[in-house]
Amino acid sequence: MSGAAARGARAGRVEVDAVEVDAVEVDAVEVDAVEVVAPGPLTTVQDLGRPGAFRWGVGVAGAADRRSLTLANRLVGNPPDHAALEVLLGGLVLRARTDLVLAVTGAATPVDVDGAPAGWCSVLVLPAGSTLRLGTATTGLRAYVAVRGGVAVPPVLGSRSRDTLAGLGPEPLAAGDVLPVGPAPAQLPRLRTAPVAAPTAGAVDLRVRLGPRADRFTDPGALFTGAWTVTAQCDRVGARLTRPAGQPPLERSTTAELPPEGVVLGALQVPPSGEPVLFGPDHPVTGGYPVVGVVRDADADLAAQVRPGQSLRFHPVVGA
Amino acid sequence: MNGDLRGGGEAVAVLAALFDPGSFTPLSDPAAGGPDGVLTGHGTVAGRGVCAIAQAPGAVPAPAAVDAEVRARALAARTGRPLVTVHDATGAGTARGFGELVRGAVALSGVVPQVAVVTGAADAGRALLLPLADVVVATAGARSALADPAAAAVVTGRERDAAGLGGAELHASATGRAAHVAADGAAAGAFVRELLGHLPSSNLATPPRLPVEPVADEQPDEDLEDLLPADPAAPYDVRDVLARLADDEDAPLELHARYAAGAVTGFTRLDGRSLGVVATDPAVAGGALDAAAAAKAARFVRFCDAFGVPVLTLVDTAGFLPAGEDDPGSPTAAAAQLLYAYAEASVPLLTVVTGRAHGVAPFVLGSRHVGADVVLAWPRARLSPRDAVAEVADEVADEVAGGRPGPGTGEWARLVARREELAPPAAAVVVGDVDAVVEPGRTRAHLARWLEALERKAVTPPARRHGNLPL
Repeated sequence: MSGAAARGARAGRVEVDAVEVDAVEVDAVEVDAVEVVAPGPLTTVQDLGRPGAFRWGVGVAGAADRRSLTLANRLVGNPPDHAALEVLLGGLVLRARTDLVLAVTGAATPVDVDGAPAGWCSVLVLPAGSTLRLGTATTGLRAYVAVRGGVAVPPVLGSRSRDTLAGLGPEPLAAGDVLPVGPAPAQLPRLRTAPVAAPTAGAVDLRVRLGPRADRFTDPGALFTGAWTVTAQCDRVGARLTRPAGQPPLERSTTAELPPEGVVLGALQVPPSGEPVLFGPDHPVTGGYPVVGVVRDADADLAAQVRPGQSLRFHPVVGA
Repeated sequence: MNGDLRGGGEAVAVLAALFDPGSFTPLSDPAAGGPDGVLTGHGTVAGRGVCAIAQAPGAVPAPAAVDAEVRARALAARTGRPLVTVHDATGAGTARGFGELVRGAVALSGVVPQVAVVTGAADAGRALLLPLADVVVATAGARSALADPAAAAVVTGRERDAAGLGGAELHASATGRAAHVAADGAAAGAFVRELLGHLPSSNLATPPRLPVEPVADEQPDEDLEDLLPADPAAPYDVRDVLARLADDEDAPLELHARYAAGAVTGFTRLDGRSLGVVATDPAVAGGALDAAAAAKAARFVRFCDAFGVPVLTLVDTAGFLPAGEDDPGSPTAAAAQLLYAYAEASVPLLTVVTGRAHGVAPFVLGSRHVGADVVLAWPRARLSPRDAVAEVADEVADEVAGGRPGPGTGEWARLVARREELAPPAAAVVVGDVDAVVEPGRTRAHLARWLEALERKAVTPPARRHGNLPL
């Protein structure tokens, strides 16, 4: 087993010490690498996931906000599907083992390099030995840190994404982990800064197609009335939604159980409480509660940046 | 007479907070036998005359009330006084009345400052009167929508009441038509009072100048530089910089703060003089200009130009929003409006390049070639056709296409750093894009001297009906 594979088998856990790292570097000639000084609340490796494996009970996982992941990759010249770091709310501290080029996108996060403020959605140069620090995001929930060459932990079933529900893929980052960085692509960074808007702190509008089980509700259209609030029960699996008293409840017309059926990213599954769960990238492959509607795939990226306490409004998609 | 301004709802609260105590004199007052639904009059604001029209809540104006409004507008025109209109009524009255109000507003445009305050509803035809004012201020509960809610629901499939179609929140953020949202009528009146303090009574007057200590006697502001990150792409709040350039370190009186936030527009004071400010905000999308930001800046520059307020432009921008011509936010058309606004302006135009100024975007932000009287640059300014990363990518593209390996990470970083060094502002002085490189801490003194020198700037416009602004 090569050094890199051995490290992958340990999935970048804490026990990487100097001796082991030396062994790696002997094996893999001058592999670029980045060291995790502090992971923040939760940082996982994510790419665009492992689609096409539902039949084996394997979910897609992958970056919750795919648009921000691919933007970060484009900034550093990577192909869009390279693995990067998904950082919940910030707090990540990285130290460059070798000269690195990075970009931070997604949640609006203060970024500094060796204590000096640096750009968000910008190409960052991190000379060997220097430190990149993410502050606490001001808006949005998930920041993405791409490194030129990609995070090169060994793939599992064709993807480097961590599936937090299935426990598949590389473990969440821990302090002391050393992540190998892949070979730089031929494409150089083409632009210093991508002028994109930060995620909003206000209400987020999501388009929803009703079904497949809208007929199990007395008034599925109640979903579109007023606003919903994301509760603290919010992770990569899903976000539980609630709404103030006085707004129409999402009542099920029948309590008869459905046989478990497949669910998808963006599905709004409604347990008997009437408080829907909006499924994220690590959603279960099947579910038993009825799905009243599904958020359009293009809007799932917006949903991934909504924080607990923030409002969501759903709008019906009609036709096509 | 300000006894008339006690009680009587939000509209009257606006006037009470706006006018100097005891100065309001009614022209037409329902309580004194005037037509119902409108109170008009004049008074002083910080000692200068201002005319006002306030509608009673909910009333549909009768023809006689419209006549009273028209008369108050005529007084503002004849006496060269700013006009404040407070909107709180649905319906346009008779068709004749509506047309008279529109003609009155258009005739006053660019002659006296017009400020509209919405405290209640300005729906249907009244919604069209608001954008004719120079500045629209709304209270939190105000609304303005042209469409009938029932008709809109049939067409869009979304049930929205009038507030949902055009509430104050929506106009502050999504449409940008409300320049400011105040908590209530009194707060709105206080805002308008401060705003009028930056404007002349009419196009024939000059904005008031406050007595201040001479700027030349000040010590250089050594701390200003500490606000600015070394990384040219790092964000900072340009409002902090604007405050340091202002008298008493006052924050600018911002208009449209929550709309198109990549461009900051507002009024400030320097050496006691009123100054309009247009600044890109590097904290918002890299200070890039999209359609909304360019249009917001263009309207503000023309507003300043109409009333003789000098314009200070601060430039630190990632450039235009890169977008296809048919993409939402594509800046081309609005950027042409902004170019037109600067090129046409006859007021003193002062520009400070504080950071990134790559490509064509700086040309539409107070460029010397488009009419700025002076362009200063800070040492951190970077003026080159493209940013260093883009330049290196171009430079190396040919090598890579020729089959040679591209630079490694370390070498690439060195190439980018060398490019940065090749674009210092001194080079821009040589080619004439910039007049002088100044230390941030000395900028106030430079600007004060230039404002003095440009005090009597006069431009004779060519004889024509009017130019054709690319609307």
